[in-house]
Amino acid sequence: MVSSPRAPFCLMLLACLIPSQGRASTALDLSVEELTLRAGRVVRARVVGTGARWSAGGRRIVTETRLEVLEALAGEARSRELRVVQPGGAVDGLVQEVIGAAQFSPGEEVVVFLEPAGAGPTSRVVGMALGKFRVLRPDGKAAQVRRDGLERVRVLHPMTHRPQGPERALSLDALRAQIRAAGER
Amino acid sequence: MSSLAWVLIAGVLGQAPEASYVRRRVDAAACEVPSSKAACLHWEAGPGEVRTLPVQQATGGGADGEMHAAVSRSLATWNEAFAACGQLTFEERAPTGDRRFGYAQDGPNVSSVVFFDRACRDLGQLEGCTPGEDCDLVHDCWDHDDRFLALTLPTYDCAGRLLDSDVVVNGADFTLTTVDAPACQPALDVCLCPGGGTSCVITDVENTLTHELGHVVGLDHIQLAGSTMSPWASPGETDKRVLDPGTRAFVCEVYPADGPVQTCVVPPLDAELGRSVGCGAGTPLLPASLLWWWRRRRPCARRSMR
Repeated sequence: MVSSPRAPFCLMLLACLIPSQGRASTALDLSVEELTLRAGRVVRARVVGTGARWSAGGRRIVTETRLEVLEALAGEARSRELRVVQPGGAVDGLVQEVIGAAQFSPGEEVVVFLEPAGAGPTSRVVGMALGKFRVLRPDGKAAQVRRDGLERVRVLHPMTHRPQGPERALSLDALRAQIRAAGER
Repeated sequence: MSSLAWVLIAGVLGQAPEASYVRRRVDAAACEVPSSKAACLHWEAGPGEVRTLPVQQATGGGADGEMHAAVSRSLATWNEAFAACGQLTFEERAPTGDRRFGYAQDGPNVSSVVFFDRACRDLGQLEGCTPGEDCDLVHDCWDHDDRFLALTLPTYDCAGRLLDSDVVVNGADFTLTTVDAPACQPALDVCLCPGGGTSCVITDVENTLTHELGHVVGLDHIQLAGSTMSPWASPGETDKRVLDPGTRAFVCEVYPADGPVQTCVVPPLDAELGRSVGCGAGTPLLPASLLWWWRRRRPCARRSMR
């Protein structure tokens, strides 16, 4: 195919001129390998429900999410149900927001990289939104995964600190293989 | 490409003037509203009224006199902009040993600035707290992700009214400095002072706080090099100590000294097309009209419109 030599230049110029959406946090990216090494447990799960409450100190709002474990991908999943705590949320009309925290919706199927949150059964997500993948099941196609909570986070390459490109979908099987390979190291 | 698409692109281009800003909006999901109707965060003040926002630095956490002075300079920078045309003013109170932050439900609330010089993850098994929830309060340590330099924690209602906004700074994972120059020298993935220590600019406290105070008054990040609210700060940077024209425009337009505080009246564009903007953040219609006129003059444009 022959294309105009000006076309790439124009596209680059346009890309430079169009500002991206305002974002509110900057984070260094974590690869699947790094996420796995930091996490004590990686599971594929379904979100059962979420609920926000004031923290023990009474000054911070946290959101607890209940997950039904469908598959343990790394580490042990001792129980069928897990609890994940995330900073921020809404209680009685008041909102506290921590940009970059993972967000969960009831019914959603996810793959999450979890680390213990204290001695109890509660966990938190490694790298906040970087450690949560949504599972997509297009009709008649293999399941895919994609990180979906990064709309307001500017993700930078951990070494070059250059902005990463948009999130791309990955097959669930490929993610499984990467997690298992990292776990065996 | 359709004519409508050209107009939309022109509209987006029109929102990238040198003097630009982006207002932070309420969390649409938490407030159960479409993102196009999410209110902009703002401090309430009556027309012509000067709203005083008390700010208090916490002692400890590795914050020395130089760091406190750097925070004071950041507050003064904002107050100078407010005095020129705005209706807010920061009132700095004497430093306190109370290192709690977050929203006091029984009030009153003061915007706190709290430094941390140790990370909770380095303290081993912590007793009497839940990581990610209250270990910073119980054990006085940085309990957030190690990849974040500073966080602003706003509390607001779904009308966008700010009730409290605190700033916490991660001195456990970042080397905080207060000198004016020289910039540090990059070495592999770190940036170091030639003589070692903190004798050069690595992570400048004043640079960081001037940016975070923008979040305190309702600004979001903007992908615009040179803006105080650009999300990226390279090691050795001090540029954000000075408010850029866009940030100053925000003060004058959103908190005008002679009028009411501006809530959002301009709906955001589709996120796929451009950044979300707030009131007075650009005038997209003029460049859109010009491009529309220019398109109509070109023969190929007329062909594509048929």
